[in-house]
Amino acid sequence: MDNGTILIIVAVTVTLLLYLLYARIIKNKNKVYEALAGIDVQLKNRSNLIPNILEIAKKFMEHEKELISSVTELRTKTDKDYDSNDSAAVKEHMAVASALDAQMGQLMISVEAYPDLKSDQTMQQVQLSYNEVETKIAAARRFYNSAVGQLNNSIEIFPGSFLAQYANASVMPFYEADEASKAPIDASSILG
Amino acid sequence: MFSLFGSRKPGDLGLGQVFRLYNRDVLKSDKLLPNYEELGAWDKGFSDHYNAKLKNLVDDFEQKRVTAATAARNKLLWLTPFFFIIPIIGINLTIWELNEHDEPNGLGVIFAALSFGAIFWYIKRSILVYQNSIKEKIFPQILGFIGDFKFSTEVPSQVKKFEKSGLIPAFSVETNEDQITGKYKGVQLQLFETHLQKWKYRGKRSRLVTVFNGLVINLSMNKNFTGKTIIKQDRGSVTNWFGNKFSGLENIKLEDPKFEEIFEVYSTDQIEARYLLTVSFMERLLDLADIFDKAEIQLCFEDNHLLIIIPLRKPIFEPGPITEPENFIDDAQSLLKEMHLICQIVDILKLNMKLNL
Repeated sequence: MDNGTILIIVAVTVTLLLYLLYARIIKNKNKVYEALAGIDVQLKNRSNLIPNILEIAKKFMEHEKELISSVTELRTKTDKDYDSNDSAAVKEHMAVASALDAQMGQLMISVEAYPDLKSDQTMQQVQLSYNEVETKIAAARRFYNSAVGQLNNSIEIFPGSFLAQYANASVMPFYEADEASKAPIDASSILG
Repeated sequence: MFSLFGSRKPGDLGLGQVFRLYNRDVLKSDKLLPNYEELGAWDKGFSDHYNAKLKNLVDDFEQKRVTAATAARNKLLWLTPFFFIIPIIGINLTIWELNEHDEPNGLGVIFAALSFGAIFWYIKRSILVYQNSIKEKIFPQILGFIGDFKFSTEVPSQVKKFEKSGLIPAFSVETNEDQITGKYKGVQLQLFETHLQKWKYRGKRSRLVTVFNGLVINLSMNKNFTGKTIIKQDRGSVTNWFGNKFSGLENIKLEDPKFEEIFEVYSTDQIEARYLLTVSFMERLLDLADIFDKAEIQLCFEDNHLLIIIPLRKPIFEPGPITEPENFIDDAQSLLKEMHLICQIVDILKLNMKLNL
């Protein structure tokens, strides 16, 4: 085998490997978009549920007006469109959704202080649906983090870091639970 | 912790039980009144149930046992000369075949195997009739202690309906026995033992080969889901890749490294798989894998049901030996232990609760 042939084989092999890596980055990037869309679908479901919760809550929770208006405001912000290619915009969108998580969590705890509201049949049903949606949001976020982990690994290690610019891929932020969610729960406040 | 493999006395179903019939003592009845001694958490409170529902049936079934054991023993005694005659005929057939044919077909061995098989079956038939009466009349009474369960020895073919799960290997012949159906803590439960065989062809010869022998468990779920998620044992990256390349399911990578070490998850929906396999559920599944010891437990979530298949080395749900006086104590202990193990699936996985955890 002459040197020319060896050179061609090496060049073809390197090109093939680079192409495979490029294809993997694209695949990982699309997976992140898929996961992000998955979160948004579940957030939308939650968003559709929130007005029903607030409608019932308003009747009973006269002292929680501030909390209710904060939930309404955050819901509007979460529903806003954002650029899924822009990691900063994604991060901000997640932060707003996370803040809404915390406020809704607070609202659900407050419900416990209103026995009439707590025993309301409609409220109980809405709470069940809300818990279901919350579980699906958590599942979607876990998928997103798994997809982001794969994408970031593939573009932070050379030659992935070199190919990333051609694949128009950038490091994406992980979803992280906000400080309010990490805080220990005071069970006595819930259980009385 | 106990396993499904160690709950039976050796030789309960095999030659050992038949040959113990030579001992005349097996026909003696126990004069003492039986007393159920509780052994653990799994049979706590059973002694009252035993006294109320089973103790009064002991005399009747002891008589049946002695009758069945006597019949089997008589058969064994008059067939004993054949244990010497058959090998002699077999050896003569082999010698004749070696002299007459260039390519012997093992006629002597085949004759001996078929003859011994027929004798064994003839003796065992008396025992089986008695053991089936225990399963049909006594097992439901024992199961009544745990919940509202039905026990049936004759189980129709039904494994085909579970084939779409992807956990059942391709098979040609299905033999089912010992089905239990009912509700435990509100969870609909169906389980049966199955033996699946497949025809294997080698040239002009064909033979049946066992492809699965074990337990099929079908449980209702409290969560709603539309896709399909299967959990298999991890067999290494290459085998996993080939085994699932054409199943149309996506491999799901989960966060728990210990879980990933033991199981491989495939699903039609990445989010739904994680909705079902929450972090706590994964931990519970690891606990379950520990309980089933060396068995390769596999699961499939589909149509709002959880299907679990567990390979077994020998059948469970079998009555105690006919060679010992009947008091249902060993039957109850074995059955309760085995059912406790199965009910633990519901308890550990918390299938009866709508937890979302």
